[in-house]
Amino acid sequence: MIDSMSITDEDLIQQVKSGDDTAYHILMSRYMRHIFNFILQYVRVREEAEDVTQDTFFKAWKHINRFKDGMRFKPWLFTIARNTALDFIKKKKMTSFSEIDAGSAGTEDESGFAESVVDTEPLPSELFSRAELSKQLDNAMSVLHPDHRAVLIMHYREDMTFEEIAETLKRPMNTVKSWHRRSLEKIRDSLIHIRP
Amino acid sequence: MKPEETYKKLFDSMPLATPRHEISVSIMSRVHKAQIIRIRIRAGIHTSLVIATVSALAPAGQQMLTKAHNSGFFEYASLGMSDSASMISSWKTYAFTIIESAPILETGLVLGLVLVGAYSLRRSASYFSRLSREHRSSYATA
Repeated sequence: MIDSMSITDEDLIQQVKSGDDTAYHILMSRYMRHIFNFILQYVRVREEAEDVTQDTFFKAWKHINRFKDGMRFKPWLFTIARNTALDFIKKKKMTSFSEIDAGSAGTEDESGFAESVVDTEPLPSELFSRAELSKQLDNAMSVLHPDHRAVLIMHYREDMTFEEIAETLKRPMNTVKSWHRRSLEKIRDSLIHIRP
Repeated sequence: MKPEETYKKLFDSMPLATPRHEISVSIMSRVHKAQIIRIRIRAGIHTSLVIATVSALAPAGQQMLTKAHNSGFFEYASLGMSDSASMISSWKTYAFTIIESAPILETGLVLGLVLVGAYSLRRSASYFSRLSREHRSSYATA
């Protein structure tokens, strides 16, 4: 019987590699909600996000032998989720490819950019008393590029470091930091300009 | 409150969506099916290897015996058994002759085939046993 709470991801992966399906079930339960919510940032339709979540976990299982010692499971799994979501969007042609393409997300050399700009201002405290704050936040998020939304979710909901996010998105850390800062500015602007 | 903390609080206010429970069941079912296909392929490969090595073993063994017979290896070996005194007195010459007449390449080939065959036999037995376990668990789940 596996003690699902105390066992690490890496130990579970070793068991999965030796053919233990129960270990994979535990691993999947651990990340199911996180991955589903992450995929929702790319595929905004719930039912489609469920399909992409299924594909993500199946792909992760299929390629589990590519996960080597010393790698971090969370960024690895989130990378698979992102790629699967982008493939799904491309296939569905829901969004034009150019929008998904990293080019529009800002691939210009942004080294030094993140450091040169001032920090984003804090949010006004009265904002949190709004009844429909989460809905307004969701609306503000919907205008962002999927990768930018993903950065915010990974950083604030998943508590991932910028290094881990950069590893997941396969982008330089400065690019990720500048996406993060720009997205926060946009969100702040749209929330402040909404009348409570 | 620091800007970072205010944004953390903001994102924490967003409700987390929960996928349907059937998703996990569906994924595990796909994993299970793929697992069975994977085991079948591996069992097939190893069974083919066992058949191939067993088939190759007969001609390789025949070749080894012929070579040993032609080179006089058996005569030298039986001389060593029957006349051990002369063998000990000129052991260097005897050892050299035995080595020279031994069908080393053919013996190596036979040993290699035996090892590969034994390994594949073990693997295919383990795959077949896993396959039957997987099928039993499928029936139990169904």
